[in-house]
Amino acid sequence: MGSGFRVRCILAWSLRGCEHEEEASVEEEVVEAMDPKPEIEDSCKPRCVKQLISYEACVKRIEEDENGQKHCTGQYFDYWGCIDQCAAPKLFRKIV
Amino acid sequence: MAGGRALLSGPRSWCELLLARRFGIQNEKRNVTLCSQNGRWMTENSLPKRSSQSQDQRSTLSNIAALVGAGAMGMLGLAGFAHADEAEHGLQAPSYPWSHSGWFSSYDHASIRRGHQVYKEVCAACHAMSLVTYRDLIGVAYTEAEVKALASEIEVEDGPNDAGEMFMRPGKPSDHLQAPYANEQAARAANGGAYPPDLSLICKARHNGQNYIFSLLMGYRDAPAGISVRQGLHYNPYFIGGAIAMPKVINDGQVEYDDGTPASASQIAKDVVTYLSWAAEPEADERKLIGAKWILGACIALFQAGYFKRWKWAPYKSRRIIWDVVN
Repeated sequence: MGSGFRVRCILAWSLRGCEHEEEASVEEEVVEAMDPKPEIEDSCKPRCVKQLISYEACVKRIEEDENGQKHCTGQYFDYWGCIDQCAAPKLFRKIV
Repeated sequence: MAGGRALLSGPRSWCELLLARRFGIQNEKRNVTLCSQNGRWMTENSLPKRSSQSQDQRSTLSNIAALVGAGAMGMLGLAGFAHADEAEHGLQAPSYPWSHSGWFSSYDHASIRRGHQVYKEVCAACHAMSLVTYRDLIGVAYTEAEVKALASEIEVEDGPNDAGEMFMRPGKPSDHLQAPYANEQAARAANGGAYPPDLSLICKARHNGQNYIFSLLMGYRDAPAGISVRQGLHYNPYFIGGAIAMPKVINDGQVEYDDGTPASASQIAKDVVTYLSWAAEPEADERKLIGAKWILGACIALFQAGYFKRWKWAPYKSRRIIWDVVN
């Protein structure tokens, strides 16, 4: 990893500094903390398809209207409220 | 019967009598001894009189009127909601399964310690926690030595010395956590007119505090179609009105935990909210212990009191009155 990396660093040196490459290798040793929340929310999307469709229909409806008064907050809240209800019990199992 | 008072047999509760009169419940025939006003004893087979017809109609009509009225009020109440109110109330935060919720659950003190670290490194730049002292953390998140070291990192202005001058000294455990701004005006000036609230009691000062704060910190999303927030504000559906001045501050790897816990955004938010919950209710662990003891004691005392009452009342409740025909 080390020498190969240095070679790549020299080649990339003209484009950007080598410091970034070295830092990246150090950071990779530290366990990267991936947030589980987006994953869980994605897995909850199938349950909230109805609200999502309703929201997208609203978006389409207000596209044509440009007087700036119309908005889809209601459908947005319904959708994200549904996702929240589904994701909340699962999230804390994934974190300490 | 005129002027007489019926003495019904057997002990009757007042509500039984009320119901009987109200709904005209028929009782079985009884020989009832009546005592009339002129002192002569009379006997009659009597039944509790049914309410008269007119009274019946009146009461039925009033029942119907009450139901219709209640229905109308309900409908009016529902119709009064304008759908634009959603943003005004904010998206309702879901209930997360906090490890310290529950009558017999204490705080996760490791989480409080991490949360304090998050507060110090991320939040203290803008938010004060002036009601919390360093010594409150002793035995909760840090040892006394650690707290002394933490406190000595700050500089505090102290009272006049013998020359009459104010001077700066390193912090002591009895000092409050240092506020980033001298006063509210300074805080507003530094944050575009918005005041970052003091966080000492924030979990009690907001409805559904813990869940709300967690959702808020994690809830920065793209605005729905048709909504735009002005420059300087950010969209957050959980915030009342939707446009919050605070930017998203919690990201993956924002903080490096001393105990090596992977610092995902959810982890950071969870820890800081646990810390804020503790700050708002530091007595919670002890309160639950005391509560468990006293509620158990009260239940035992209730059982005891009930038994004693029933024991004392037994002779009265089991008495029998014997009626006899007078010829």
